[in-house]
Amino acid sequence: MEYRLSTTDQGWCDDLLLALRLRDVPGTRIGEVLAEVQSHLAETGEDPREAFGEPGEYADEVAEALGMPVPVTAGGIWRGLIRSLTWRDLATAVVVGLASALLADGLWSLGAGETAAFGQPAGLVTAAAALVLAGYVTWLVRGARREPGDPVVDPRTGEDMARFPRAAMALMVAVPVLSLAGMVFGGYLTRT
Amino acid sequence: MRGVLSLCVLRVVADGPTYGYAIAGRLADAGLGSVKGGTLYPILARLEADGLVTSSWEAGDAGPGRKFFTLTGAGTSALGERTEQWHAFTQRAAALLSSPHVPA
Repeated sequence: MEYRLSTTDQGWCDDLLLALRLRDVPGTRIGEVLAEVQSHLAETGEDPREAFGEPGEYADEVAEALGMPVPVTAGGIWRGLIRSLTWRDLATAVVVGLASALLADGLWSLGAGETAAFGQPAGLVTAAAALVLAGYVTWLVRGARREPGDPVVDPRTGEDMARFPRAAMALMVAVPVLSLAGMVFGGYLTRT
Repeated sequence: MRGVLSLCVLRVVADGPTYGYAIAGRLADAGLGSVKGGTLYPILARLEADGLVTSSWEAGDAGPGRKFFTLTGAGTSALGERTEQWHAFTQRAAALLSSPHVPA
């Protein structure tokens, strides 16, 4: 069952997956569609764009065949994503952004042995910002656990076709941790 | 035209379990031109959603497997019904098209 598409074909399939997600097509159905495309391409050796058209257009066809409501994705993928944003998402982004900046500032000041933003003790700013971010991460993880989501299931193997790769997970954790450690170190270097 | 194509696909599947590429081949052999995957699979999905065909995946030797479609009982009766409707329609259309010109 191990079968690999060429990189360009895989790219087309990735675009199709995203387009189908944006049209709220159920994950199991997306798995079927992707498996059909893979099977068809392997059988015919055709180019996916030639056989199925643009990913967005084909996603429209699929959604229509399923009797799904007309998608609100006119204007492309980015428009669709931006339209799906709520005020709560924006407020969360602002709070998380501020907390991140304060955490960085607090850690830098700890390293430098100075007071942090607003003349507050570095330890206090660091602790407060870390608390906010920890709360946010907990909320995020609990939300993700509560809703198991709607995985794109491969009809042939029952596997998740759009798994979050471990490398991506490691990168997501490592980049902020290393940056924050860098803040302390950077602050420390300013000590004379 | 899509309605007719859907009927033709139903007719091909009636000959026994078959998969997308083979269906496209049968349609091409019948002189219906090359039907693109982007047209064919949504038609099959619609037929399946309507309960006229069922599908199952079979592992391929080296490839990514094939999705086989089989006609259901409802599919058999729908095929008979729609074929009759199609014949009635084409006869009427042909009669109209070949009717003598009557100057107004």
